[in-house]
Amino acid sequence: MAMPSGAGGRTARLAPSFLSDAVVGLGVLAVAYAAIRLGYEAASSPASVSTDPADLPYLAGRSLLRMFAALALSLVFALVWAYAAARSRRVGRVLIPLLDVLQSLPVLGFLVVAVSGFTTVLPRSEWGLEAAAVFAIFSSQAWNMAFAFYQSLITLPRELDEMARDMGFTRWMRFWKVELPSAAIGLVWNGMLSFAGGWFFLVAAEAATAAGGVHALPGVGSFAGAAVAAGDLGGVGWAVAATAATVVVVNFLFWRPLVAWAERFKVEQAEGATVQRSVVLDLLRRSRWPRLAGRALGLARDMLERAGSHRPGAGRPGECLRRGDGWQQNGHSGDTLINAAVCTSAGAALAVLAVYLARHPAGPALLLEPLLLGAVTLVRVLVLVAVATLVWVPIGVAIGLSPRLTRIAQPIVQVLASFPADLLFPLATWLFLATGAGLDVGGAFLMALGAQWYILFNAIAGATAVPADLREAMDSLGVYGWRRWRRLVIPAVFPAYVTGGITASGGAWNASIVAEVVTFGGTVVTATGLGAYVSQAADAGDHPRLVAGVLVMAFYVMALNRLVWRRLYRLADRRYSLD
Amino acid sequence: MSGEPNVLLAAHALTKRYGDGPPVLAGLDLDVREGEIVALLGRSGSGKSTLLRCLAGLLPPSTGAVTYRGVALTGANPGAAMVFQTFALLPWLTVLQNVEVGLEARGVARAARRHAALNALDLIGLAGFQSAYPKELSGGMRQRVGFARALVVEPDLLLMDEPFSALDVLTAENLRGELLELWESGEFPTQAMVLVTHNLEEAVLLADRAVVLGTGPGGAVGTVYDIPLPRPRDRDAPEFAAQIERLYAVMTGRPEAAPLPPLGLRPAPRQASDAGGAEASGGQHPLGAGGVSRPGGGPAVAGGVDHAGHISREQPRLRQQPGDVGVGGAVEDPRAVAAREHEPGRP
Ligand SMILES: Nc1ncnc2c1ncn2[C@@H]1O[C@H](COP(=O)(O)OP(=O)(O)OP(=O)(O)O)[C@@H](O)[C@H]1O
Ligand SMILES: [Mg+2]
Repeated sequence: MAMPSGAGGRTARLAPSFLSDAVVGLGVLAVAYAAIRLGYEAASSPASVSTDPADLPYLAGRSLLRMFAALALSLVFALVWAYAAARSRRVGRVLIPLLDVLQSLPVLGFLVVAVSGFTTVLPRSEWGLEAAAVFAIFSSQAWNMAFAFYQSLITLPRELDEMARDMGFTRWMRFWKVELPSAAIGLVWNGMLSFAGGWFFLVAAEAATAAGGVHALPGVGSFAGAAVAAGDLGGVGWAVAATAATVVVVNFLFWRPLVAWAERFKVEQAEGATVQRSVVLDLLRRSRWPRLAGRALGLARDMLERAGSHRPGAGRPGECLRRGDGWQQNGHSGDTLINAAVCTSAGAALAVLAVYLARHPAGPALLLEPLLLGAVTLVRVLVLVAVATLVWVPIGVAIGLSPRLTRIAQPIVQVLASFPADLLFPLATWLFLATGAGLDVGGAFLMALGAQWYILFNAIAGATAVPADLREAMDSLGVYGWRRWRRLVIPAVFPAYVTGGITASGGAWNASIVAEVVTFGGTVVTATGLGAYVSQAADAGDHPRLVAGVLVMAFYVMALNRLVWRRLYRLADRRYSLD
Repeated sequence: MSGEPNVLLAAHALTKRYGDGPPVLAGLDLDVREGEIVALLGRSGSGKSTLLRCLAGLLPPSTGAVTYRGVALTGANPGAAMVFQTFALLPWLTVLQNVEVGLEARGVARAARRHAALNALDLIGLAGFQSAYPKELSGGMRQRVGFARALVVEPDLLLMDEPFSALDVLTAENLRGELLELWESGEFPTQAMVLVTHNLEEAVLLADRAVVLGTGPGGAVGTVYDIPLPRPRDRDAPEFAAQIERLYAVMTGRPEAAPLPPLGLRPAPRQASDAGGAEASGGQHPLGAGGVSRPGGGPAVAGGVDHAGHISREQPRLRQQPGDVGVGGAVEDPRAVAAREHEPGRP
């Protein structure tokens, strides 16, 4: 290796080539063109549903645009919300519990309300539909990402925090050079998993508009929805194939390169962790475009600086957002305002709901039925999580402990997790109908189709993080078999497992809304449960029951989180944390 | 007290406790004057890092105050720059960008800060490495970046928390020697230094005064000892040994005429004579090819050691020591880094 005196450190080692320049250049142009074209279509053309498989590439493009719009929104929301919550403890005390509540609200229950809300607010009904779909995806991603960023803000490595304060970093420098980079890996992984989860909601939202009749959003989900309504199994198959292809392509062109690129933000090289690689990223690095773009950005920044934004002592010093030490954070002037606004709107929403429910003839009894039905769904969720744990944790650990298997399996699992399980529901329904199996048991299976991957994914991640020296110590002490599981594997994987378990159980609750009532070509199969209750109330436009069902479901999710997962989390943190 | 013109930094009746924990510092008084180096000594957990962070304005004192040029601190000390034991470099920035951050925070224009940062890298022996990333450097080189980053803002005060203890002994010896040379040469931008160390010899070599933190009732109290040795200091001089002896006695609570300390704090004579032989032959250090880490990490390195365990070598001649070659790099990165570490940084 030569002296790295030239530009670009590590990245310079890939020799630039004309071919990669050309490929990357054309690729960027193609993506930009497609995005603009699709965006234009979305803004101008009337919503309609297609049943021609030849339209599927276009439809997949429209769906993808929604996914990325929601991802961008979620990212902005996550950064702003988390920063506000971390900057002031007083504000955090309101924003963080609120995040918890939002996280447990079953989005799919709101879909119908959201659609009608957005269509009345926005000038064109297609825009309303688009907005509702994007909102559904957004609300499946944003809370997670906000929480991840918040965590990383308040647990910034101590010495980086001290360095930033000692060097007098301005607020912007602190954010841009320290906080955002150290959160980058977490944000990228979280974004990737949230994006994977988002497909489920995309399909549900699009299918809901298709089922709604008049208008439908062009997309893979509405294509599938129309096929289901027509009882066209072949059409569903086409939709499944198109979605699978889209998921694979997006992973290859977007997430893998992003994950591999984020490696540069590792604070320390954890031994044993697999190095993420991406062909696309290598290609990008081999081309000269990024460097040109970087130089152009640098020039722009220079010009901005020269324009006089920099004067001595510019900018206010960044504060310590890290919890634990630092000078007492005095209250900020905006704190009370933010808190008042948030509390007022939350309180108002609650009051409206309370009045609304109280005016219903059934009164509080309205809540009784969903509470009972919730218990049935709860059993489904618990069984699902237990079975998924027993099946996937050993497999995940086996994968995670072998770097070679991890390299192979991780992208596959990622694709499986991304694949929207609700696209498969019609096929499963058809199977249930053909075999005569009931949905009461099958519903749990459908819910598991989407939720199980979180457990597998986190088991793999947890096992990868087991330090090599601990494993070697066990080898040298001759600890194998069950004893090894009890002493090393289970404690080491436990924290990651709990994270996966929370997500899986939350996802299962949400999925119950579409999994406990399935239709196929006019046949409707229903299971007993809260999901079916909410879904039916939504279809019937029975808003009091819908509100009651959604509230009760949120209550169940929060209760389960608090009584079970939160405790396991604390146990994991106290006893089994690896640092 | 801060009215005195030459007091840069003063701690007054400083106490500190973390949350509801036991008190760590119990009413400390300390003046740091222009032109002096102060060493903070004490056992592990005695509160040295806590005191240093209070002086840097990174931790608020529980009671009492720290004043810089007579003004009580209410946030990061504007006149101090810190060097961290674990370097605290931003891994996603290049060496040059890492060195520039302090200037950037002070609103220095791009061209000017680039110029200053390159000069600092030059001064600290890192010329030519500006576009490397911290990951690509050996520990010794990383700490050089840490020094360059602190020095480039020309702080009045340089605060160092065990700056050499994450380095192998030879690398540490080099860097320490260079720092001292800069300090004595007068081209140093800094007026005073405060240094936390576990290494008594390092303290006696560098410091004009040593503050020994010892446990009193309700936390640590500091006792100040002058180290009135002329500079440049001669490690062979009996007074040098006597100072170490005295600090050792203070820290262990033994009478000054105590017998030799146990292994670990000082090198064993046998290893020492090996090292002495290498030095005498003037050639490759026998330890140079492999690891140098020695249990205890005592101060003895490539030098003869007399029976009392004192290093008899001259202060390391910067970068010209043939025996040094490759050691810093060889331990941490077997590839080409070894060559870099000793590539003469400046003519
Ligand atoms: N952030 C913290 N929160 C709570 N207690 C702390 C914190 N930092 C240090 N302490 C406690 O304060 C005491 C002094 O710690 P400090 O790090 O200042 O000691 P030290 O002299 O630097 O030790 P060492 O030589 O091991 O670096 C210790 O008992 C430690 O447990
Ligand atoms: Mg310390």
